[in-house]
Amino acid sequence: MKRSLFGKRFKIVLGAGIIVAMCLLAALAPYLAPYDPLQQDLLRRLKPPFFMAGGTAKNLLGTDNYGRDLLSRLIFGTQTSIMVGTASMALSCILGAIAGLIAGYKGGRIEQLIMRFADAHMAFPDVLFAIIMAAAFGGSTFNLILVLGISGWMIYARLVFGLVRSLKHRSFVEAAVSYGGGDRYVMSRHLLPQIVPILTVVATLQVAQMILQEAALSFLGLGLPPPAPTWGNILAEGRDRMFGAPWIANCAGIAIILIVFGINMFGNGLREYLDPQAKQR
Amino acid sequence: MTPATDHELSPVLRKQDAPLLRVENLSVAFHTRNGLVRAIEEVSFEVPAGKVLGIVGESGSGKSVTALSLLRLIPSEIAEISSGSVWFGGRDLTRLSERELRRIRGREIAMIFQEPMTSLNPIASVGAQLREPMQLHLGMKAAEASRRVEELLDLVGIPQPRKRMTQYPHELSGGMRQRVMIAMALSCEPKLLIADEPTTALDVTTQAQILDLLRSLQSRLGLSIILITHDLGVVAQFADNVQVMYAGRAIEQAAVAEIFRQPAHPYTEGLLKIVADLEAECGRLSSIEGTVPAPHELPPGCAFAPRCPRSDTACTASPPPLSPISPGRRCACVRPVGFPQFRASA
Amino acid sequence: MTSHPLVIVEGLSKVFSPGTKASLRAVDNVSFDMVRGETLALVGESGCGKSTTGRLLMRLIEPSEGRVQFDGVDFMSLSSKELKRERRRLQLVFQDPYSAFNPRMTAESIIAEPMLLAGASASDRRQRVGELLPLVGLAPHHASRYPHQFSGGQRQRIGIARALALRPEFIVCDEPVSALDVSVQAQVINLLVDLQQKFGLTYLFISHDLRVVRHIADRVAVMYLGRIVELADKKTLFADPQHPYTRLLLSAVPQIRPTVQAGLLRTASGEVGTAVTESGCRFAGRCSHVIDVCRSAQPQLRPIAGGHQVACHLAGNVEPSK
Repeated sequence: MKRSLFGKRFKIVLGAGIIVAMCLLAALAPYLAPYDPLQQDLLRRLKPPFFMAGGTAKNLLGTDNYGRDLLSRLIFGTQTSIMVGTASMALSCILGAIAGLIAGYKGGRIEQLIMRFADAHMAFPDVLFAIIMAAAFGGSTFNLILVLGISGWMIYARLVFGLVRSLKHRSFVEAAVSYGGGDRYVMSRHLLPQIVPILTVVATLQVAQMILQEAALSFLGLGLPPPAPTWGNILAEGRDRMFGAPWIANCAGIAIILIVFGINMFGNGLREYLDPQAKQR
Repeated sequence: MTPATDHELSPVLRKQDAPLLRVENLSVAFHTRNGLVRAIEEVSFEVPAGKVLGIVGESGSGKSVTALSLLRLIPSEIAEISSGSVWFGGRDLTRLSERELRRIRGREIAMIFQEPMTSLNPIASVGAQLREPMQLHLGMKAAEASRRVEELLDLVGIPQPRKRMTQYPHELSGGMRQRVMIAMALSCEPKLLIADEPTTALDVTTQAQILDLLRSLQSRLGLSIILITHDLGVVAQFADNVQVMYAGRAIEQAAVAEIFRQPAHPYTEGLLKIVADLEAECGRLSSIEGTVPAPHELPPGCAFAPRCPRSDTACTASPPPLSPISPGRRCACVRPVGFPQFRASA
Repeated sequence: MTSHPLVIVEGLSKVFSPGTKASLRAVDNVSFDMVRGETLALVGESGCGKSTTGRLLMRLIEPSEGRVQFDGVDFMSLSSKELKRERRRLQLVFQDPYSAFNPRMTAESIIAEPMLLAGASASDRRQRVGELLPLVGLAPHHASRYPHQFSGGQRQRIGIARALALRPEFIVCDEPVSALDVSVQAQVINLLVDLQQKFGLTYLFISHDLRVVRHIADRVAVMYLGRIVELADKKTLFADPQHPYTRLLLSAVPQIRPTVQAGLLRTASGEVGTAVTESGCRFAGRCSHVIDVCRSAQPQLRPIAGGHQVACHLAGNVEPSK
């Protein structure tokens, strides 16, 4: 028997630890950040972090092109990332689960309509959608959540659709119908509870995807407009000074890697914990 | 009723029939989260050459585990043979290496299972699947193997064997698939066929056809068969000898005619009464109250004692051993039904 | 028994995916009556449409043709709201005790579900579950357990308790004991018989197991590929089967006391569904008594003696082959 490198308990604890730390950081940002993330100090531009030559303890992770404190920007960036990540995950999860439930349970024409629309949407580039939204409504947190949330629903719809289609032939569904249970009753009482565990795992992992996407869109200038402190924006600013001031891009990159790693650890641990087949091992 | 001859009565005990297979005190335990759990305990039986042994039991009786353990077909991570031996052709199968055992599987001892669809490769034609073991085990050339496949399919009563060889498992009906499985099992001319609930998944008319086929093959080829089933009717029509299992132990062994004439173990008696009541259209079925105990909560004494109408304090001390009660019969009960003179010594 | 039938089924048919290549006539022109308190068994092998017939009767599947009348109410003319109300008088017991229950619900909420949907109050539900558990041979402490904590037989008892919750008059038992061990089968059959006597229930008992049917049924309808081929009271059917398929089915049952008929009557070849002709009798391709008319005209179910109906051109003329 092979043992995986990390036990599921270790994964959950480590993942949850990172996630909780990040959330605390976001919640307590105004108290933890040493400076205002938007305050410029042109005399102290492009200072390196304290561990590099020329760095000081005044700006622990150095400053950017405008002399803004990077640590503070990163800490405030956590707020945006977590907020956008979870909110857009929730939006796409709700949209997708409802669509998948209805398509899978009702079948027939409604199924065709919903699932073909999902296929079409899959083929539609997210970035194009983001550009349209940004052009039409400008960049705001709300728009960003909307864009990310809407562009992610198909994954849930397909997942839930497949699960529901096999579940609805189980006798307990037929039994509930024979007692006069309506569509809404059967879906909410009998179908949804069976798929929640799987949905939870996928949704957890999806938060990481959403955070990456948020960073990517901000990096492309389609997210929150500068000077808002988001990890994507920091990354975009760091790109121009990749050689002169590598720490700008690096620290944003490491922050993204860290939270994505934490969420993936947690999600995978959760999957192993909830999956009865993995349990036997 | 004509008196049974000695031959029919006790083939198990006749010395001149050296048994083809002899199982001695076989115990198998499963690895679970709560440690080792006994699946079968101290099971011993013999299969004489050319005879059919029926192993009957309900779910959880250990009948399938017994069958699978003979060829060590349960992966060692899941279960282990904790004691006992399986003698076949002068060798103890429990001590053979995996390599040596592979030469016996399929070649000298073949198996057929309940659901043929899961044992057949869905993306290979029937002919290709049947040729493979012959080319592998017997070193036949493709053309020769093809000829043999045709013979085999004909043997198991499949019409138009040439056409069937090119078909895929999903194109066949359940009965045809089971016939293909039987053909595959017979391809290397085994001496012993282990059939694990071979007709359970089939319709009753198809079941009758498959049982007819197995019976005619058995007499034509002189096969020995171990038939695992939950259906006493199937045993009555098909087997020479019966072993009844309950909660992982063999509780009764006898010739078929004997056991249906006079069951010795109260459990066997209870089962037979139910089936007889069903056939007799009587008003109310006699029943065995309660359920089979789970392997991890077996009582210290006889596992059937809590459900047994005849049980008393003697039954709860330790499990009664399978002991001879008359020539050719063994029973694991302190006070077997219909054998008042017999009393097991503790 | 009185002359008023509780259930009248007339010309019931179901075509799945009509008009396509995969079009399947699962149930074809099925008619029967049932009086209050009787047990009619629908017997047949896989694919004969017996389970579909049970569901068509309850209008859980919408019939393509035909009429179902229950206690004077025409089921086909009911609006979906009326149907929901009327259907409470009919209940269904399922075959597979493993998939019949939502694994995340306790026994109590499973049994109470029909009452919940019928609008019963929480205290009424609790009280009724308290009555039902001992009625089906379960203990009060079982109420808070989940399905996986029960044995197969106990699960079937929960299924029966759930079916009884709304005090129905009619129960469709869809292979209720097929998944159970023999010793447990007997317990559940006895329970069903007791409950029938106690509450005057009417059963439509769907099964492939002739042994069980022989025990529990008053009348038996044998189905083959969507049609009833023979319908008679139990004694007649088992003693004097007329349709060749019924004879085949009876002779195929492995019995512990082999009778003379076993083995001798296995006249038919092939399996269910082999050699089906479009126009003629669906069994013609397997039947050893087949004559020309069998291939050209579909035999109708017709009475040959009081209450004994057979769909065979040769009915009354076929001698058992020796």
